[in-house]
Amino acid sequence: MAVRLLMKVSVDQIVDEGGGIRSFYFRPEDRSRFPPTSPGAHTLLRVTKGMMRQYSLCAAPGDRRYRLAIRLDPAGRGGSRFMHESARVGDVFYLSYPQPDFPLEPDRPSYSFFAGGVGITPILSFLYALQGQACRIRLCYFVRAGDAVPFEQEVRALCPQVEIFNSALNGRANFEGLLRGSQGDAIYCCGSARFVAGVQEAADALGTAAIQVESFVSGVKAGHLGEPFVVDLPRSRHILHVPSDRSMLDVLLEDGVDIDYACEAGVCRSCIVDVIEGEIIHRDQCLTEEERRTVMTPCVSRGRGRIVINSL
Amino acid sequence: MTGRVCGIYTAEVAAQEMMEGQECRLLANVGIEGDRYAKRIGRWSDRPKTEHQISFIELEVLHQIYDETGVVLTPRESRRNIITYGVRLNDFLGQTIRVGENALVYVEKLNHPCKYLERLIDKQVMTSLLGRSGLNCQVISGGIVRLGDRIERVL
Repeated sequence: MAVRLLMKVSVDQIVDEGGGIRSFYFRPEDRSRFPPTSPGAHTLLRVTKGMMRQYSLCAAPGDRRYRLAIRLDPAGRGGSRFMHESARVGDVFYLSYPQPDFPLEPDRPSYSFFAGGVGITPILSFLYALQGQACRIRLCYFVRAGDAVPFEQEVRALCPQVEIFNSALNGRANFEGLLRGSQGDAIYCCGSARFVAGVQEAADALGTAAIQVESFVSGVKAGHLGEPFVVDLPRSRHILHVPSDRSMLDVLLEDGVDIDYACEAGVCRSCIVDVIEGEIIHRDQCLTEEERRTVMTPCVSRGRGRIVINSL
Repeated sequence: MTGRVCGIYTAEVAAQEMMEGQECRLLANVGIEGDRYAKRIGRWSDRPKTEHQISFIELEVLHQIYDETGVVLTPRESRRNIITYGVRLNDFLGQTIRVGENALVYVEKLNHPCKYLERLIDKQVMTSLLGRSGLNCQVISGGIVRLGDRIERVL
């Protein structure tokens, strides 16, 4: 857990890093300096009302600004498009306090980093943190076919022995082969969900000790809340997948459902929804047994398998 | 029963760290000028309710929480607009109170603490706040409110 308050900031500089990635440098607007960050920390950027996005903090030590690297995803949900097309130097935004949920284990003799595309950004903060330390560092950096290598100069300066893999030149990545050379290292991996799954699968096949991963899954990590399930909203014709680490309320809100809520603890009854079909795992402290036959509190309660919700 | 204003806080958007002020302008049936709820971009603005226009909490409650639990909940972290001293706010429920010279607010409900606050400030305070979490009010008549202003029931 960490403080999640937002700070008022403005864009100080925008730098094209190649590969469709731009670095946005922010400076504080209503405070003299930002809270300190830790390697691997991310921040939540309030792009517009209701649109929060999570990005790694990757400024060089000594730079009192925050840097966020954002890759343009034309088919995405609009956050990166807004930043690339509309954000200008001087524009005001709001950033959360640093969220340190991808920490670097200190004082290991050797580290291996696997970065896929813009997943290099938390790795950059690791490389900065390890500068000057007597440890062995291996960096396997995967970029997409045809892309320039984002941050290439910076990466090479921090880690001259970086191994760069371009899918156009190297074809399908052989994660197993690469991981064989990283046995005993502290291993960190960041990239798309598919990239991370590929590395994880290879690590499992090799019996590699646990690797630390971060992927570009939207939303807030909340630990294991229960088994994943599916929510069917027939009125809006949406079918939503609630993963094990998020509440149903979070997923509904992200989908744009206009739902009232308050305590997020199953106490206040604000978020009650009608259940048409399916088995509910009730975790509230406010419903009667009679009510539980037909309603649920999505802030804490979950479904089993697939549930159908009315009027959303 | 008369109390005093000892803190004034607003935020421009939902979840923003509250900004401390010396004074603020209350706008009738809108809220506090510049505040997230007056701008309709607060946490609960998708379901606008008059009770969100201005909020109050007692400084004494923040001190009690520290005494009882050791948790320091600062006025700024409480995310209420007006911090009061010397008055039992719960006694005002359902009544109209005057703040400063001209501003009138109607006390619509007792604030219900929520997990949202705990998550924002990373402090376990929800249980401690139950029953003393302050007031949610509607601005009936506008005016300037300054630190040190009186707060009293309108008879």
